[in-house]
Amino acid sequence: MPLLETRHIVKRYGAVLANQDVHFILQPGTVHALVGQNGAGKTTLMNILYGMIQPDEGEILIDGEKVQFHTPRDALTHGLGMVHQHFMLIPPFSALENVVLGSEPRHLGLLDRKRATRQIRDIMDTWRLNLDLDVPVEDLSVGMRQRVEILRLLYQGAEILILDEPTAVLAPPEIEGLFSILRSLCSRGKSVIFISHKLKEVFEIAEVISVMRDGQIVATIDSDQASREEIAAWMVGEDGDRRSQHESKSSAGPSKNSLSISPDDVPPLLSLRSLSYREHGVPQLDGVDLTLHRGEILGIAGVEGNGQQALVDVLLGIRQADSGEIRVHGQPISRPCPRMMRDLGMAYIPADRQREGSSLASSIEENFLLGRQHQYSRYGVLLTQALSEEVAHQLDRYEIQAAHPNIPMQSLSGGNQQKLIIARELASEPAWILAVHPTRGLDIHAAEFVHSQLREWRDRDSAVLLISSDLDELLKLSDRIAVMYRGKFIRLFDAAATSEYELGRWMLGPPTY
Amino acid sequence: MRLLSIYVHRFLPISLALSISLLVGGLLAFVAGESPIVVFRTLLLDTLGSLDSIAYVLFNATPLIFTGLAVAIGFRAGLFNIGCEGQLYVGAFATAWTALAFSWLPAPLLMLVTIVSAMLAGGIWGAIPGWLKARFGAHEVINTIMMNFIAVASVDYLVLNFLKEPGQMISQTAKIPEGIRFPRLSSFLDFLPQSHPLEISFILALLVACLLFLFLNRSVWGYEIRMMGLNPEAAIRAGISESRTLVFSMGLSGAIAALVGVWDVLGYHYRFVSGFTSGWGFLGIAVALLAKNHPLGVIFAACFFGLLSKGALDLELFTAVPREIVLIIESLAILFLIVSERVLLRDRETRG
Repeated sequence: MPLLETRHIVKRYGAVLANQDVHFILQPGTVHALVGQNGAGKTTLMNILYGMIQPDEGEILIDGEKVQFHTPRDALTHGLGMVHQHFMLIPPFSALENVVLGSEPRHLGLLDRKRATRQIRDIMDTWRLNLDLDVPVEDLSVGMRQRVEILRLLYQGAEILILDEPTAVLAPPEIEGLFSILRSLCSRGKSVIFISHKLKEVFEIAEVISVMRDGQIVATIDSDQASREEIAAWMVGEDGDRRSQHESKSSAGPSKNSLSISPDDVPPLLSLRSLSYREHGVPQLDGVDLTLHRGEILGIAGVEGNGQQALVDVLLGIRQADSGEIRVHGQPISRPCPRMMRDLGMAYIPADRQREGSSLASSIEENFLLGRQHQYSRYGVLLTQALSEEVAHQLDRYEIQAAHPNIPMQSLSGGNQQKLIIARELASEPAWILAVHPTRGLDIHAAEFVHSQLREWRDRDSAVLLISSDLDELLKLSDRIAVMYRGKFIRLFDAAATSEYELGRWMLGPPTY
Repeated sequence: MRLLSIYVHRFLPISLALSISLLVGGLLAFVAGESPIVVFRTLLLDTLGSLDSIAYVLFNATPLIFTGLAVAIGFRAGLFNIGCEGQLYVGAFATAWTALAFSWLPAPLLMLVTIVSAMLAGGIWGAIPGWLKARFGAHEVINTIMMNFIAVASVDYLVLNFLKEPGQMISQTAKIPEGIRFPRLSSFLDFLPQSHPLEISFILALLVACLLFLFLNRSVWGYEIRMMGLNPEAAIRAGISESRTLVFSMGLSGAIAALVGVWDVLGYHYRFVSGFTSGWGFLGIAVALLAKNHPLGVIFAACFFGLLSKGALDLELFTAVPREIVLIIESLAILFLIVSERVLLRDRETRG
């Protein structure tokens, strides 16, 4: 009998199906890997399993018995616990205090340290898991903090441990340490759900692999029966094969150094030279070179978290690169800021239209003004009349259905919100457009509209830098596609000569043939 | 439909909060052994019963309009300015100091200089926590509170040691020149007795509220402040400078708070008196909350608080109820406002 089973799990967010009919079976004593691209529904499924959110439909069975979780604590009493990517520890507390937090053994209302220590030592001996209990967590290494998290779940009686990208923060020796702990756990009956992007590690540790795509589990296979290529193909979708027949011999591709295709002397709209950026000592951009020419759409593919966010923020001027050079129209920019970049002709379609692109409580007109307030003012006074006329005109032109330009942004549908942002950004006649996931969450009709706009601007001799996790979109729109991996462009493809399958393979790192 | 929605959003929570708090106040009065009817009559009808009494309400409201506006502008930028108390204190000091130091200037010019210097002093005092936040990420709540202590202590020290009126035991400056004292409204309005303290500061307060309303809604800077308050992430990405907005809005907030100092020095005491403030800076927070940070709403909210504090005096004089009941009503009004908004808005969200 499986230890854990989900049946027909469905979770909707508005019109989006985050999980559709998910069947997932976990056998006792195994490490079960769950892989999939961002947005495939892994996180939703895990949030359901550990009680953070409730499914709209479907059931969860543990040892064949139906259970319902309303809170993470519910899930934990049934033996399900989660180790998050970002640890949920209290830094100044000692490891011991963090482990017992929430279920402290008490003596006369106070923490019974002796008993707690004894209990934890027992667990540490059982699972061969070493840790200095008296050190404050803030003085522990990342790997040790992860152990504290695992120990805490074990202390609270977890039988199934869900680990979300546990190796993302670890150095190679620490990964080895983690894996030996996981093996020891499984050898004695505990089970682990291991979420990762890194197929190499997945094959190393997992006995069973499930692949998620578009909210469904599309394959579950024993790891010794599967190949990396197969898994990658499942992740990006079968229709990668359709494309692969276009794959010409030149798909070995232009060499990755020849990033410039324009032969003439016109300076490119945008060029980046060995741009590097670190955050908390971790490299986010690691020598990025890029050239964006007039009349092209340059796509950037990559698994999320490989530096795309940093690239956007550095281009906007919200964060400053540590080294390297940004040139716009051939002119080096020493300290970019959003205002300057906009004045130099950048339009920006943000990844998250609500968080990064608008104020939901404000009116449509006020949102249309955002970023363009200086164009619509004289001597510091807003030209409300001109603004109203322009907004009315744009609502009409982009067919944005709004009862009135004064209704709040939040009363528009997602598609219309996105249209409004695009209308706003394009109304300034940009020289180039930084578009980040421009169709995320849109229906086909709205997405098609966005695509046509981006194409139109390319054809009008503007340029688009398109960052997207939708490979289909990238292939459809782009002239060239760069693959971003660990803060670098590891490969540049001619979009006509590549396939989803090939992109997908490179997105997981340089393939080892 | 839209009107209804505006009503539900804006006025229903406030009306609910005010009525419930008054009802509870009445109940408390009953417990204290006084008829709620009598209390309400004293508090509301008698207070609004004569022009003279209404003018007292407006007099009480004047400093609250200034501090209410100051707090509101901070809130609109997403900042919690608890430092009005200190800002108005340095404002008052700057007013008195310039009035005395430059007393040789012609009166109209001197009046202008004192007002500008007060706003500069309060503005700088407010801008410092804004800058600390922009530069180091230090939280403005902590810093504005600390700046309050620093303001009061250093101003009192300066007054006591350098500006104290000779031969006086009280820590206060000499009187300012007569020419720059604000004229009382009673000199234009016959129905007010000559001794009535209401003066042109009230008109100034109305003017500042209207200007601030226009500034927020019709100017680029006002727009940038509002966007920064509504969604900083989007505002920054749209090219609005966060640090400039922080410093500027806190400075503006402090400058407006400093007008309370002008009001007190030029319009009431005619000198700086240590400890003259009676918590207007803090009451301004309640005023701004009640007004939902709307500059014109601040006028009405300040008048409501002015009404209650006028009524409190009468309560003590004419009934058995202690005046503290007014404090309870004021506080309940804010509590109920916050709760009723939450309830009403949540209700709407679940339906939508």
